[in-house]
Amino acid sequence: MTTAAPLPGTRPRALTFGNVWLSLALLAALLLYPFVFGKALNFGVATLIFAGFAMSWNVLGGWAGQLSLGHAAFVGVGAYTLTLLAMPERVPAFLGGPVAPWWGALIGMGLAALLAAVWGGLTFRLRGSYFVLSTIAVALVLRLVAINSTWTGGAEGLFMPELPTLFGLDLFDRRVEYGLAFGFVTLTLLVTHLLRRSRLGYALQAVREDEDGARALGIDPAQMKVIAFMLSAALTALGGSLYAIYLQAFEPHTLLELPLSVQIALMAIIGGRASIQGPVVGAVLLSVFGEVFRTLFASANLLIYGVLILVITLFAPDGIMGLFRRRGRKLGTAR
Amino acid sequence: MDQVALTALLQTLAQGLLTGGLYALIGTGLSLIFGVMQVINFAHGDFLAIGMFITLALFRTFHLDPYFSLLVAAPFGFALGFVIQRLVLARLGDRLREGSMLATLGLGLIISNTLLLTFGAQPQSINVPYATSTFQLGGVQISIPLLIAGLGTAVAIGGLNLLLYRTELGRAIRATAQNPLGAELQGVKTGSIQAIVFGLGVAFAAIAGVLLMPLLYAFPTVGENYTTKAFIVTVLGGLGNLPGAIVGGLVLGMIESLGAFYISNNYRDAYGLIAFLLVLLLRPEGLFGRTVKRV
Amino acid sequence: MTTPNLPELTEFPGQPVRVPSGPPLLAAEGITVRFGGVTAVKNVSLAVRPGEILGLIGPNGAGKTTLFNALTGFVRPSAGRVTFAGRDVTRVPPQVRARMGMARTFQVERPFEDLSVLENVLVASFLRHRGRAAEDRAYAVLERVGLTDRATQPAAELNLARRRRLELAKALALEPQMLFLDESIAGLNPPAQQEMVALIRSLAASGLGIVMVEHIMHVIMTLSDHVICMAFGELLAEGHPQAVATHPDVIRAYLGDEND
Repeated sequence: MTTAAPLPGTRPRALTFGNVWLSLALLAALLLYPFVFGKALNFGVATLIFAGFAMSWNVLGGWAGQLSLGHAAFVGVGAYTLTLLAMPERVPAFLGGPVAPWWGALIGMGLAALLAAVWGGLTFRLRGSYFVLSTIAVALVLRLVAINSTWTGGAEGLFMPELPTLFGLDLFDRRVEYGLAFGFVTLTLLVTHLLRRSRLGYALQAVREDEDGARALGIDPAQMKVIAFMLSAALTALGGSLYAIYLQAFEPHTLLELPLSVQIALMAIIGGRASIQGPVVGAVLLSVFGEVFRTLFASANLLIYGVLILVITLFAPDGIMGLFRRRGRKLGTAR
Repeated sequence: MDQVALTALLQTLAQGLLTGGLYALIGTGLSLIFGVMQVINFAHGDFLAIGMFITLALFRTFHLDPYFSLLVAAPFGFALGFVIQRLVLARLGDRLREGSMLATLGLGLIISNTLLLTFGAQPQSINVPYATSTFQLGGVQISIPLLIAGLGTAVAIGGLNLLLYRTELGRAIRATAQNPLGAELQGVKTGSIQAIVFGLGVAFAAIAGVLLMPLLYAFPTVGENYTTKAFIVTVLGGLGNLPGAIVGGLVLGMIESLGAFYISNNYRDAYGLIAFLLVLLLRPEGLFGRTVKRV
Repeated sequence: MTTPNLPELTEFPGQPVRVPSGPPLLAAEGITVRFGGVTAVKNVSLAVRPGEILGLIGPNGAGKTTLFNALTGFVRPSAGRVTFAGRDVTRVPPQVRARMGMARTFQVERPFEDLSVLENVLVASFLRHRGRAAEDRAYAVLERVGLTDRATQPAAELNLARRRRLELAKALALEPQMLFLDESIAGLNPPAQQEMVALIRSLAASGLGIVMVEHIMHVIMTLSDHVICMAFGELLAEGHPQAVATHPDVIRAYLGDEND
């Protein structure tokens, strides 16, 4: 069993934070955006929020390997929670008055995690395809409830009321929103980098690769999937709260619809589920494409999603980031 | 129960059965595809939409009665499905389970958005004289187009049954569904079988679309809702279980009809979804399936 | 009936086989496993002490794998009890057993394909350690099995012998007291076999109890302290390797009746 041991000091390391420089470069570019494209701030805010959605989705979809097509539910939980709690006429009496948006967002995160815990606990025993179907169903049920319940504003939805300022900053100022959205994306990147170096991250990957193999090593797949789900849900809800502020008015038909869930999932997959920055890249790319398409064809901007996911699935399953993988080296340590 | 209430109940049941028949048709196509290929076709409803729009286009251009469109839509659907399986699904290899979900998701988006670009977003309908006619049966009003759709469904499903159980092709299909490797070893060309099956499934969706056209408005994203209905039907009946899909369709039709009438029309779609979730959680193999392996 | 010529028992270098003493670490009583109408395992009992190597042999279809899965928690026995360190673990799921000190390899190796060799072992060493310590431990295990030169290679690219060693490494990284080896040696070339045998022997010497399923007779015979032979789901013979190997029932099970 004599193999040449590596020279001291060159021992390979597995525990890294991943490609932090790439993330910093990406963030730097995103930070510069408003100074270059100051007039297209709306587009920038929306893109960043969706980038954050895609990153959050990927905790479950990429790391744990569970495809969710119901994440709009968590967007909705975040949006509705923040808004309802901020509206004096709709906030529950026992809270004694409207709740500031930052607490509203936090509560939304908690509720989303709770939903994920219950739903995940029930459905993760099922085979993969059944889980996907269940995500679609739960999101649709939530949508119907929102449409038909007067407390949530029914089919007309809700209008964002006046919100307190954050350290003197007006939350409805697009530049402030850009900053918050930027913070959201940074948070999701941070979480993902930490995941890369953590026991949880490795456990999720093991569960994704081989559940029985993971069991043999002391990992409980159901438990791991639920944790991933809760984390993914909470982050998505945070983005959902921000999205509500950005939209200023929303209604269940468009906020909780299946195409939104599909969009989020596809952004992450097309960008590259296996890479840390993949979802951001996917979101930016698809948003730009979609915008271009919209100006040319005025509609049908989801066509590009369809074409790309087909192409990616057939020819580049690791997404766009997968194309830049160093040859021979797969995802493992470069993830 | 007094006469009025009885009539209302019968009316609701009749409505539910006929609608359920259509759901059964849609669900059968999806279940067939899953049973033989282990593929979940997320574009199923969009193929239905193609059927609807073919009917619309033929009606507008040639004033062709919608039911004649079946002669165009069914073969077209079959051919489309066949080609898609050959060019797309067959290339996925062992990534089939997840890859097919994503690929069909993409195809669905391409189809619905192409329809959007071609026909516009406005809901459109065809005006045939019999669109709203009904006939009376013991006090119950039965919509003629819905009845024809129900009959069409019965014919289609009957035809499928004949195909599966009385022909060589049917035997080959059933063999592939049960044991692809075994079937291959016995000389069955499983690749062609899978293409044929996918073609059949898509054809069924297109047929359903044609049958629905006299009853509904067509708009490009109409497929999304029907894909969901198809999932509900197949899960209720057991994924891959064809007789189950028929019963599942009827059950869904009834649940919606009864729920909408007796509880609330607003939540019409919710009843099916709730039944779907309950079955998924409590009996994922479906009401009639055999036990599915739990993790 | 004439005694057939068994293959020469190869002399492996190392210590002679000992018979350990002490209370059993693992005990199974009356294990029966039924699938539908088939009884795959019928009323099998065994015991393994720390430092002892138990060999499990039998022709194909004898139920060895099913018994193995029942002992490691991947199949629930229809009847019987499994105790580990005095605790009843019959219904305990595999992930909890790992924590308790039971580790297994899989006959068809299950590396995490997308992860590197080091990362594969890291997942296992995370059971007992955190952070850098876990990584150091994982690397130490790689040194023990001789895979350090492939530490950063994706597991999917390993050849058979190395995949086997990785399987073993992952199990070892769990720091188990009881090791279950499912055909770790079959399919390797003779030098690789020698290495594995030496490794397994050293593991037993360090106090691990080992249950091994193996097809290669001379390996089982030299390594095991105790052998169990199964056929048609039942216990056919058990005892000292030499005694089992020459047992007429065992020979018949493997080679068939002379009247066949």
